Amino acid sequence: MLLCEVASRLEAEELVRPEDPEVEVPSAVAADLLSDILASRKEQFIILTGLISPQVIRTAEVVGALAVVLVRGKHPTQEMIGLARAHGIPLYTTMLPLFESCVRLAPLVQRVRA
Amino acid sequence: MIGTANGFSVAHELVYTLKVRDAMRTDVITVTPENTLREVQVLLREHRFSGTPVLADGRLVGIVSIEDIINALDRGHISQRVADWMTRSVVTIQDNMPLSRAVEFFQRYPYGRLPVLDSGGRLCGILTPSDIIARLMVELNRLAEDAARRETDLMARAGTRVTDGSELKMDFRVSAGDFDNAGIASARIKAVLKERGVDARIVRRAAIATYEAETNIVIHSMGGKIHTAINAERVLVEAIDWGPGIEDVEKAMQPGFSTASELVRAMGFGAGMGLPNIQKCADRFEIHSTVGSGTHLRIELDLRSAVPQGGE
Repeated sequence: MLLCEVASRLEAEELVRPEDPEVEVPSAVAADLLSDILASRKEQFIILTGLISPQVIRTAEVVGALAVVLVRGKHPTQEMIGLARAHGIPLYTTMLPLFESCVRLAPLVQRVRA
Repeated sequence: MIGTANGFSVAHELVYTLKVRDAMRTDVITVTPENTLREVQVLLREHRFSGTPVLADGRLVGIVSIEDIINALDRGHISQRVADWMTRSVVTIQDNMPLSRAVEFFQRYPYGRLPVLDSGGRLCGILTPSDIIARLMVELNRLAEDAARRETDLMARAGTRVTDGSELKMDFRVSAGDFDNAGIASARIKAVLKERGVDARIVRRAAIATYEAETNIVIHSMGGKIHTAINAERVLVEAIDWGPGIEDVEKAMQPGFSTASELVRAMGFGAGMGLPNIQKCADRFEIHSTVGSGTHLRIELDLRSAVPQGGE
């Protein structure tokens, strides 16, 4: 799936513009625990989370996440937006809850695997 | 510090900090009582304004709105003088008032624009709700830009860097409780390894192990440092803290065991995955801890092999 497809599937608002909206997103990690994201064995993925803190962006930078999507209509601080800009990490927010977001992305991920 | 402010409360705070003069427009087109309503109509159409203040001898004496013009067209007095049809009781606002007052005014009165007066009572600008929104958007963006600049500066300045023979050594101080800066050392190490063309998977494991070590120092210790030594063969990351030390190292190494506080857990850390994850990412890992004096982690990754020894 492409990053722009993810954004439109999740009806997400773009807070930090991706350099390449057509970047291929093979997978996603959904977690409200940064430790889980850090321990994930996946390599190329986007992060879906309900956490709002600069540490979300730091974690995304460390694991090389392709983008961060904040769920449940969470709005980040300007600090967090600034951090994402500095590290070139695309940032989105969606009104959808975490589970519904995963449900919507599942067919796209399956299409990639097929 | 930890996401205490969301977009709304930041905007809320801003309307109290910013003054009316920060958001008002100063390119005000005015008319005199002697102009005709027809002339005002042409003016409003040309400039796409919805109303204009009326000045006599430099003082504000009224306002003509688009509604006044519509009424004039409707009732046939469009060729008559402004003086006879303008609204005379004008609600104004002072330029040094906080923007929150203007927001209140717009909620209380049915007007779409507020003439702004300076301390001498002279007209110095005009303010509409969309001017306020535009100003807030600019201000919010500025806050994000400031944060981005601070981060870029920090990344460039953070730590010390010396070349010792074939080895690059970097040191970073890590302060207890300083969550906002945990991640600087790992980001720097990641950048250096990437620059050297190290395999992306190794870079990633090194960054993750360092970040886990940094957050451990922030969460559990009284402060410490990250020491890095990179050569062609391997990257060595040492995380050294000044205490209090780990009572039962074996227990601390068990996945899921953690002594982190509720606050730390609410931030998404403290799941008891840190040390096991460091071990998983490293090719060689040692931990020494003495209660009362501190903990020393020695994390090593080979830079030549792409296959992680410890699995992922």
